[in-house]
Amino acid sequence: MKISAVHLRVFGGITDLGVEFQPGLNIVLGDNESGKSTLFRAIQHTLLTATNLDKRALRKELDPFLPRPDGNFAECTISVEGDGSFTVRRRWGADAEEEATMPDGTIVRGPEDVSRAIDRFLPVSSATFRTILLADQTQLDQTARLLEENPGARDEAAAALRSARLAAGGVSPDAFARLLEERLSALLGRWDTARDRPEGGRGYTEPWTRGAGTLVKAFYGVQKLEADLDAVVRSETELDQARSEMEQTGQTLRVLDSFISEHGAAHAELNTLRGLNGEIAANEERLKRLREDNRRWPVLQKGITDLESEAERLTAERAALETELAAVRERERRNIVREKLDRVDRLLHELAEAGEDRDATALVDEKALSELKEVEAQLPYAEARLSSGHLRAIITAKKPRPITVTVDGSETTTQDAVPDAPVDLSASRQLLIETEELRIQIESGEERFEDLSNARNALIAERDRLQNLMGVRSVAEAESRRLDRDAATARVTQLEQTIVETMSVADLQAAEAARNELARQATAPEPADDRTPAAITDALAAVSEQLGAVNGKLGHSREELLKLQQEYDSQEDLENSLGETNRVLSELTSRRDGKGSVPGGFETAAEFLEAYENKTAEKDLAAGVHGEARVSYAELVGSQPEQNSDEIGQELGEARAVYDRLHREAHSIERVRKRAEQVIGDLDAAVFDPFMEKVAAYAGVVTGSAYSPEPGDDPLSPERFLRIDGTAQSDGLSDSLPYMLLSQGTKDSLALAVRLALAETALGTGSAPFILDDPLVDMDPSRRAAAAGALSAFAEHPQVIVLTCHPEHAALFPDSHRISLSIPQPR
Amino acid sequence: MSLRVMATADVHLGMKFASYRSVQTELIDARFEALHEVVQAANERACNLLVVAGDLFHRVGVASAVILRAAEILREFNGDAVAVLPGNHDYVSSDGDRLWHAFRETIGDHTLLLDSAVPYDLRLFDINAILLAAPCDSVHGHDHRLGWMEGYAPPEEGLAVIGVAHGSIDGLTLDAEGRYFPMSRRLLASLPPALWIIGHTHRQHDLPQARLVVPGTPEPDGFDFPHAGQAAFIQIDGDEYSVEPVVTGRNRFADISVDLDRGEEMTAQLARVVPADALVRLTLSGALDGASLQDLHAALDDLQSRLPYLRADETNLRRLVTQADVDADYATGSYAHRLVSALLKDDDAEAAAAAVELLSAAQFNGSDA
Repeated sequence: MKISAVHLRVFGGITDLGVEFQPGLNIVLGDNESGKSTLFRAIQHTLLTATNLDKRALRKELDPFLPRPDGNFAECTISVEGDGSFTVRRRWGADAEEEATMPDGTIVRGPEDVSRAIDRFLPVSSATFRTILLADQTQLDQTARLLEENPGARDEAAAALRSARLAAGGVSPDAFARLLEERLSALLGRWDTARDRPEGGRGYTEPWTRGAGTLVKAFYGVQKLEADLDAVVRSETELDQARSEMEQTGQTLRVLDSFISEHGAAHAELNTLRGLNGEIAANEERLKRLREDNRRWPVLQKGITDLESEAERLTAERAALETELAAVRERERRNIVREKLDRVDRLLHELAEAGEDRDATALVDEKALSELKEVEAQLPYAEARLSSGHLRAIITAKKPRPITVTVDGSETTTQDAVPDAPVDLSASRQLLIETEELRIQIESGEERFEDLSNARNALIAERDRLQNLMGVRSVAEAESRRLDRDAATARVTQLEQTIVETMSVADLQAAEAARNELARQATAPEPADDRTPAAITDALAAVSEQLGAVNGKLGHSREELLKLQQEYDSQEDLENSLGETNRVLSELTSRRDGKGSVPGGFETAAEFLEAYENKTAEKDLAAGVHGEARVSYAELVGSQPEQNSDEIGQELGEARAVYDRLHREAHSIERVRKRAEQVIGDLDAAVFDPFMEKVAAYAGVVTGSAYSPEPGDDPLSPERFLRIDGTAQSDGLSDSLPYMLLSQGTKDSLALAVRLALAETALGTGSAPFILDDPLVDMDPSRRAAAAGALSAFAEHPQVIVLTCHPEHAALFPDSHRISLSIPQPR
Repeated sequence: MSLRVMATADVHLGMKFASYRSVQTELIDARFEALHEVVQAANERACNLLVVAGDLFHRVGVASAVILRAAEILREFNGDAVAVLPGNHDYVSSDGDRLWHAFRETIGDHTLLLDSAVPYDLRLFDINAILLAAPCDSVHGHDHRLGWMEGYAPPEEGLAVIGVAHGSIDGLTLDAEGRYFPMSRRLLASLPPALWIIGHTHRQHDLPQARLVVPGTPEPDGFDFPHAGQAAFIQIDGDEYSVEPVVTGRNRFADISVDLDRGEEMTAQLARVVPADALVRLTLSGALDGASLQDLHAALDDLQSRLPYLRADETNLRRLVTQADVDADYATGSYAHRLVSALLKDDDAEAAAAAVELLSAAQFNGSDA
């Protein structure tokens, strides 16, 4: 495919510019602002940018190309030659439209159809065309960097390479991978392949809805049918059980019904017979009772009479015993009176004696006693004063001579005083020594001995007087006598108090009166003294008991008789009833005769009747149970699922087959994916080998065999290049140089080499225009010539369009189709 | 005087056919129509007696409308009596239940419900026969219900004694667990009936040695029954009887397994085995290459448009991929070539087939290249 002509009706600053291109190399030469870059963009947008842009996209993509100041649209037409002629015209902005004239002359319009038509005409994808075949001035330098910085573009480039390499079978690996993922997603959405179950173990009761793949849905389908089958089997089993239970209860009911029907008549007859027997038994019982009552009536009457007499006798006896007991108790009371009287009398006697004792003890004159005590107290003092001195006289006679000596006035002695034998005398107060010629009175102290002696003597006389007065010999005796008198008085008082208390009266006088009353009572006549009160009480109790028993019997007999009287009015009436009952009984007996026969299997009618009635009761119960069983059964029948277990089982089998198939399919596709990833990996490693060879070849051409890409480096974003002309070694430098350290011209040369390799790889055998905007700017002349040579060589197959403002660059392409652009005139 | 009996069984009225959504209504109706056919055939043959040997209804809980419709059809019988035996699907409880209670209320006087294990004297209907009935009283039963017949003697000579039962018969019916009132032919031969009419086995059998007629279902009910629906017309003359099959069914089910040969045109292969106008379940197997598969799917589409019902199971059908195919279809060294070749080398034919299918789809969808 080659661009044959471009017509810019209005685009950027250019109006109505037509440019025609030739196959092979085309050089567009023009000064700055002559419209080279505008032409480059016009070709790019016309082939790659649809017109249905929103305002934002329009501003971003095409705003620079809407004519200033008031232009509101841009329009360009490109004619292409490939398999026939193809023209595309696009107008952006106001009245946006686009159309493509197909090789057969048909015209397609609209963004999608026109884009599709262009895609069909382009031998490479639009992405590859944009990324690799359109190289503007800046991009040439930055190819590798742009690819590095723009992963999308890099991926496109890689994809383009891979596609070119791999899509020989008509299948894009990316399209295949996408389809694979889509198919797996559709199959395995929400499926946990590691655990081989839905994600999170979520079953059909809490199913995944969003994103669930067909395998999960099939899995749920199987699960639901399994649950349905379980439910149906359970339901069928329950139904069988309910039916069986209903059958059993029904059978029980039927057996009971059958018995009851079979023996109904016998039961009726024997039941009647049982009624008659009951009546006969009742009448026999009544007859027996009437007879007994008839016998008892006179017996009761006589018994009552006898008991009444006995009760009367016992009542009298009890009264006599009570009288006797009262008398005996009176005698006991009188004995007590006497004892009390005796005691009182004893106390009175003691009182009289005590009074005498008290009176016999003279009363002590308290005043005299007090005075006596005073005198007695003073007397020792007087005695002491009298004897409290100490006198000593030693008399030596010059010649013998008698001497009379009175010591302290009381002791007078006569002694013979002789020479050489002094008489030693001593006294307390007074020594009176008398001789014939002399009377020598010697006294001690201030007081006179006479006064002291007189005072003492006066006290002695007073003491004696007082003692005489009281008739005692000492104070102690007087006090002793006074104590005796007090004791006698107290004894009298105590006895008086005891007497008063004993008689329970207020004073002794009253006691005397009471004592006299006791004495009067004690003289009352004595009752007979036959039995003790206990004996009388025992006898009284025995009589009372007998009387109680008799009265009890009497009451009972009277009640019994009263009952008979109430029931029969009279004994005559009772005898009438007796006759009537006899008659009824004989009639019933005659009715019973010949009735009823006991069914086989039963020994007695009672046994049969009991069995029959039990079975009737059982039947009622069984009917209830059976009714419930029937209701349960009917409910279960009504709730049976629409499909039976066989049908659901069949569906389940089919669902399992579907699930198994999907499961197998999913796993097959899983294996395809794994293998596909490996194949892609293997191919990715290999796909760049020929590309690297191309880059190395172009690098050799454009650098004069100075540089080559370093093996192992990323071919799309080479980081290092090898210096292969040997100069590095001669300079002592490493032969591996980082791209960033290369000169700008070398960088441009190597970038052009990468770009040419990319373009060649992308195009393969196809053809598309390779358009470069000023690719040789920074190269030195030799590199520029080498690059021009490489481009010229490249242009032998695809169309190459080089835009430049440098005539000397254009001159490097002597065999090219030359197009000159001039600066447009302002409108 | 001969007795003319039309015998049928296993009509399964009220069956839902839930897994046959596209033809569900037709299949449900077809069962009523089959019963109608039976009655019509009986009328055409001037039968005295129409016997339904169990499973007239599919479930005891069938809708009232089903019961009414069945009774209406049976009332069309012009003979003397219709005898209906409860089978294991429409079993009877000795108490009677809603199904048979409703049925009794709607049937005519000449319809006799054989709901007890007793002799039914058909002289009441001017038919010189006694029916000894063995109705089912549950869905499953490990014991037959024939015991009561032992020692039975007909009230008079000259009466045809016919046993009517429902359940599996040794050698005729698959009943490995003996859950369907199993009866042995030896036992049948030892019991008083001179002729047995026994339902439950859907395919018709006439076993003169055992004096046993299995009338079969009048209308097939699934792919496990590939035969035509039939009733049995029985003529009894004294001790002799003859059986004539009467086709009554409208639909045929065909459960077909085909091992396809990729060397032959698919349409031709299918045409050989697929009957026209049947409900078909096709279980396909074989290994087909892409072209054969396309051919097959075109053939199946064609069948689908012509047959009343087609269910094709391709689970066991493999897409055949050979290295030669791969070499021919994909450029050597290309991604597709490498991928499929790798899978074939893995001996993973299934994955290889899946890959080829996906590659084809990717091609069809277009690519970035």
